[in-house]
Amino acid sequence: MKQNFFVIFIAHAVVFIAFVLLIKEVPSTLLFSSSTLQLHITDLIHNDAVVPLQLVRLFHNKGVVFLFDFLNRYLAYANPLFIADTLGIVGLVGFFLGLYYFFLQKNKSFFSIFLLSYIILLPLCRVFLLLSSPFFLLPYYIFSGWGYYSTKESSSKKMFFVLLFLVILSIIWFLFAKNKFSYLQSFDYI
Amino acid sequence: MNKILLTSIIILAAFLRLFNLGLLPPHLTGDELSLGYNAYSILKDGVDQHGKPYPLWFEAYGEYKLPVYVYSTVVSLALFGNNNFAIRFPAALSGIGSVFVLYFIVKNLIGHSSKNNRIAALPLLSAFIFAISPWHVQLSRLALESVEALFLFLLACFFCLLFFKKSNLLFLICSCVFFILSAYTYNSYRILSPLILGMLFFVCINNKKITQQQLFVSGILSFFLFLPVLFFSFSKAGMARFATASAFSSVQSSGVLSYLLYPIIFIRNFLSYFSLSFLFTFQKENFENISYYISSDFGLLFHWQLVFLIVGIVVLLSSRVSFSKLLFVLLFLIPIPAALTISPHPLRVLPLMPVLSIIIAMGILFFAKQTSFIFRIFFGILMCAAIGETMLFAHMYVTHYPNLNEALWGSSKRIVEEAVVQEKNYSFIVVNKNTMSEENLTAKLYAPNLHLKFVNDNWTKPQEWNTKKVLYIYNGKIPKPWFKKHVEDVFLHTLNRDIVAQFWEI
Repeated sequence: MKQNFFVIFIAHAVVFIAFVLLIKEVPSTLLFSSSTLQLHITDLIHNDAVVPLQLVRLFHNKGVVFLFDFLNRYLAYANPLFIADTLGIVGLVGFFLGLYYFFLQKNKSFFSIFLLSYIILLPLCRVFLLLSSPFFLLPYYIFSGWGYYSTKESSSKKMFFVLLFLVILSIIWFLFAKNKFSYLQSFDYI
Repeated sequence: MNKILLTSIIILAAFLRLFNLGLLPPHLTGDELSLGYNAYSILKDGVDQHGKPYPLWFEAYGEYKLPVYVYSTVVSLALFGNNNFAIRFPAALSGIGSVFVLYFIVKNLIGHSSKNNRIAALPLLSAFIFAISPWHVQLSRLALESVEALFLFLLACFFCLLFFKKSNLLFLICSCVFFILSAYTYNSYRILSPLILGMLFFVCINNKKITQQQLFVSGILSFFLFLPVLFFSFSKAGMARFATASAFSSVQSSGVLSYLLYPIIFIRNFLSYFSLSFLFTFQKENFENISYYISSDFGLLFHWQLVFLIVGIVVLLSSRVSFSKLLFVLLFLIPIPAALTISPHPLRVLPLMPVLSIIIAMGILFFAKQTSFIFRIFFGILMCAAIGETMLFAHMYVTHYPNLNEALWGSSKRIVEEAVVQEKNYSFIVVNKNTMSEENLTAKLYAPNLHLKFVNDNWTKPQEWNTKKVLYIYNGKIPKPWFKKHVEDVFLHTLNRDIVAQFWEI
C-alpha cells in the first residue's frame, strides 16, 4: 500500500518538475527575486524618522519583511473560501470532515498523514513560484473524498441526500458566486 | 500567587489600553465624533444633536446609534472634561473589564478541573492572551460600541455560568439583563444576544436546571426588556443601518435568482471569518473601508499564535474537555449576525476573540506540558517569536499607525483649529457642508464659541456681504464649478497633504 502512495507522489513530482522545466524563463517565475522587498523596507523606514537607527534595523530588515510577506502569502491558501471556490461547497464539507476525522484518529493512517502533509506543503510552490497548475488541486480533491469516505454513514441514504443537497449548492455557488478566490487566480488575491 | 499574576495581567491590560489614549490614535473618527458630541450635548443640555431630550436611539449620519455607549460617555465627559480621552475612556475601561471577566469565566468553565495541573493555568493564560491581543487592544483604544457590548456580553456569560453552578435566580436575572443590555449597545448583538439567550433557556430546560418559576420570571423580564429594541429593529430607523451595511444590498436581480444568491452570499461571508488571511494578515487593501481600525501589516491575531491555535483546536477535539462543545458552538454562532452584513469585519465578530484566546491558551498549555526535547526547542523558538512580534507590533502601532492612517483620520479637528486662528481676520466663516460633514460636530464639541455657516455647493456670497471679508472652507481635491464664479477670490492654503481642506478668501 505504502509503495502505491510513493508511486503517486513520485509521479506527481515528475509532472511538476516537467511543468517547471517546460517554462523557458524559470528565474522570472521566482516570486521573491522580482518582489518589491527592498521597496517595502524603504517604505517602512520612511516612517521611522524619529526612531533610533538600531531599532529601525531590528524591526525593518530583509529577514523580517520576507518572513511576514511569506506568511501572508502562505496563509492566503488557508482560506475556506479558496477551498470552496476550488472544490465547491461539497468539497469544502468533505475537506472539513477529513480534518475532523484526521484529528480524531488515534492511529493515524499513512494515507491521511501523507495527504495532509502534501496539502500543507503544496502552497509553498505558489508562494515561491509564479506558477499554476491544475495538478496542484489533486490532493485537495483526494483529501475531501477521504473525508466523506471516513464518515460512518458514508453509504446510508441520509448521506446520499446530504451530498445531493451539497452538490446542488455547489452548482449554484459556481454559477453565481464570484470566482475571486479560485486557486488559479489566487495570486491576484494575495 | 494567582492573585498577583491576575493583578499583573490587569495592569498590563490597563497600560496597553490607556497609555496616551487621547493622542493615539491621533484624531477621532466620524463615528467617535458623533458619539462624543451626542454625549456632550446630553450632558450640557439634556438633548441629542437633533434636539431630542434623552432619546433611546441617537440619529447620526443617516442611521441610528444605540444608547449605552452614548450614556456611558456622558459620565466619562463629566469626569474628564471635553476631550478625546473622555470619549474613548468607556471603551478602554470595558476592554480592561473584559480581560478581568474572561479570567472568571474560564475559571468557572474549568470548574472542578481547576485542580487538574494540566489546565489549572488556563484562566490566567486566556486572560493574558486576551490582554495582549492586537485585535482587542486596538479596538479598545477607539470609542467603539462593540468593545463595550463585548464586556456586557462576557458579564452575561459569567452570570450564566454562575447560575448553572448555584441555580440562584439572581444570577439568571443578571445574565438576562446583561445580554439584553449588550443588544442596546451594538447592532450585532441585536441578533447574537437573543440567539445565545434562547440557547441558554433551551439548555436550562433540557437539563432541568431551571424551575418553572425561575423560567417565568427571567423569560418575562427578558421579553419586556428586549421589546423596545425588537420594535426598533423592525422599524425604518432600526433597519437604516442594516440597509447600508447589508451584504445583500449588492444583489441586483429579483425573484427566484435572488433567493438562490442570498444563501450563497451568507455562506461566503460566514466562511470569510474563518479565513486565516482575515485573522492573521488583515491586509489593508482588502479591507479598505475599515483599515483605520487596525494597524497596517498586522492581523487580528499574532502570527506566532497560529501554531497554538491549531494545536488548541486539535486538543479540544481529541481530549473531549467538558467545555469544548460550548467553545465550538460559540465559534459557529458568533459570525452569524456578521455574515448578514458586508464581510469580513473585525468589529462585528469581536466576541470571537475571547473564544480564540481560550483555544490559543489550550494550545500553549499543551506545548508547555510536553517533555520531549524537540517540543521544548520548538516551544522556545515560538516564545522568542512571540516576544519579537509583540515588540514589532508595539513599534508599528506607536510609530507607523498614526502616520499611515493620517489620511483616514478625521482632519476636522485641525480644520476647526485653523478656523479658530483665522476667525479674527474675517467677518464670516463659511463651510461647504456637502464636502465637510464632520466639521459641524467638531466645532460644536471643541470650539463652541466659533461661528461657522454651513452652506451647499451652489451657495454664492450674498449682496449684503460684499464689503465684508469671508473665509470659505472647502474640502476636495478638484474644485467644483462654484470656484469658476469666483476666479478673483484669493486661494489661501490647503491643510494636510492627503485630505485637502482649501481655504479661500472671498
